Amino acid sequence: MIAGVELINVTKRFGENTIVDSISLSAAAGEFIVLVGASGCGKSTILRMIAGLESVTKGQIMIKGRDVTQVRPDERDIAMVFQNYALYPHMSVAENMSFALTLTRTPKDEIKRRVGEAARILGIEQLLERKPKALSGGQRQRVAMGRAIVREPSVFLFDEPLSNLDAKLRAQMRVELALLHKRLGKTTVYVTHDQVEAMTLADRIVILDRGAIQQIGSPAEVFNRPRNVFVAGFIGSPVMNMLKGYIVEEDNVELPDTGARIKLPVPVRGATGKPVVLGIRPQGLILNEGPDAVLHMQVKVAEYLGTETVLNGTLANSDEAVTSSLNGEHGGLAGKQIGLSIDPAHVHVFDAGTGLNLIH
Amino acid sequence: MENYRDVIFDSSFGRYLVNSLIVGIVATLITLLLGCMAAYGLARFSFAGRKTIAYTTLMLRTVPLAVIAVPVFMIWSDWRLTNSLLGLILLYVAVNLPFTIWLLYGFVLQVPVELEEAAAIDGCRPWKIFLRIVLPLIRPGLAAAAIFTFRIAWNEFILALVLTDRSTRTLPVAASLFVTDIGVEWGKLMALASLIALPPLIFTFLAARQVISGLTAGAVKG
Ligand SMILES: Nc1ncnc2c1ncn2[C@@H]1O[C@H](COP(=O)(O)OP(=O)(O)OP(=O)(O)O)[C@@H](O)[C@H]1O
Ligand SMILES: [Mg+2]
Repeated sequence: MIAGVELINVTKRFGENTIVDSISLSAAAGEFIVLVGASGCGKSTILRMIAGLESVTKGQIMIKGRDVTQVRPDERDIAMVFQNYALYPHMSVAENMSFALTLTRTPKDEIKRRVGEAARILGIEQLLERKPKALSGGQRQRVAMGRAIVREPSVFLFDEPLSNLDAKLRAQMRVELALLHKRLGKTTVYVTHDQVEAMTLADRIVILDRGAIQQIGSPAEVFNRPRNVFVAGFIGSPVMNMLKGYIVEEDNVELPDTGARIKLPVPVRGATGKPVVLGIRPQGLILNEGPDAVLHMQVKVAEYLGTETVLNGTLANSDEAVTSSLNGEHGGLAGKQIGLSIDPAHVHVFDAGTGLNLIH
Repeated sequence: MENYRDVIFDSSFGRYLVNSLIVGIVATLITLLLGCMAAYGLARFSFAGRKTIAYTTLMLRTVPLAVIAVPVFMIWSDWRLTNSLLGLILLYVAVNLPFTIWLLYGFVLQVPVELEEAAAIDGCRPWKIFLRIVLPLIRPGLAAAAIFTFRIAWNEFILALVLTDRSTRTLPVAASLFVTDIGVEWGKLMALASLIALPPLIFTFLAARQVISGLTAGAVKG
């Protein structure tokens, strides 16, 4: 089957700096791919190379099986939604949406039909005659999407399209985007640094760090089987606890500071004595006031969030920071020392040197 | 009133008026045309010496016109541009271009690059991006630059005096002819002076309506 978008060993350098380092990636036709990573890791640069706004230093970009590496942006069969929307301020909403079609001399009634249809899908029919400056942020966002839809491209490119909206509107637009994708079924490459957007929208997530792909996988895969420390720390909220230790008897990790031993869900063969990073999701640290508690935590701050309480503090007799996320209301634990047991399903072990996950 | 009638129906008033209009309008158009292209180039394309050019253009404008009158006359004589409207027009373009470039440069910088990128994706070639996106958005700057250029070209006296003759004279030079050896014809001078002041006023009024700030508002999240 022909991929919707394919990157083959794509490298981008600005002068001496390698910003994107030999990335290969293939999005199936109709797939929703989300690129995530910290600020400056090269997400936008990758998207702009797909769009043709940035040249490719090395490698190839294919869209629907066609090599477009040297093709002009307008002939790549893509549409892009910018973070700041980039609406043409001197044109009405309708003119903004139909600009590309008028440039290709599409017949008037065809333009009208497509703009009308996109406006109906997005619920902006009554805004068509307005100028962008007379629109709210959410409405501008919709117009920007409308401008992309009207072109009926094979590939949609989004660069942090929701990051300028307030939290409530962002959640609403996220749902609308998901519905829109379902409806149009077009290949989509979506850049964000919001992991909630990544988890909820993506068929597959691509996690980037310093211009290199750390892992590609479904939301469940990258959450449950993070390939390395970076992915484990990036996906999941609150952030996974990372504790230094070493393996004893293949199936335990001992924490040198506290002497605590944590049983692993699966043994790491032949690794006894190996220095590791023990990763435990905050949800895997469970309140246990009994004598069999594995870890003890000095709680500093308890944040009550409605359905859960996030405890921030350190391991008792140590200064290693830990976070626990407990169901329900536990605001009273602030300042106390508590016992914790560990849910093995939330435990990961990473090689202290390479950062690779040793058990998943 | 009589003075006005005398001035207007003087056989050469019409010619001087036409001279002034041609010089003012053509100089303004050429200045704007070159100015917006140069400003766009400076703002959007990086090349060696770009910063230097941007600053020196502004410095140039601080030189008083009287200082350049003599050298200009020599060069224009060499090129046989004296006593022609073209010579005057070229001079006014040269004098006004630096300020115009500098002014429009600021306006181009205000246009978000993403608009041009969006237009490129929508199917605009570089020239079309300039015409359909950039030019409409720097319209206030164009209008402001037009006001400045037109008024300087219209009112300027010293260079016009040096570079024109009986047939290519502009109105300010014509006005000075009322100052004669045997006295100043105050009535006619005042009448012509007020007539001269009128067109720039009208022009400024028309152009100023284009100077609506915030034309790029709404392009990006504000
Ligand atoms: N034109 C350019 N010249 C030089 N360096 C650039 C250029 N464009 C981007 N960079 C650099 O490339 C790196 C990646 O930039 P990019 O915009 O792709 O990051 P990003 O992942 O999108 O970050 P953010 O989340 O902040 O948007 C940054 O370090 C940036 O400084
Ligand atoms: Mg970015």
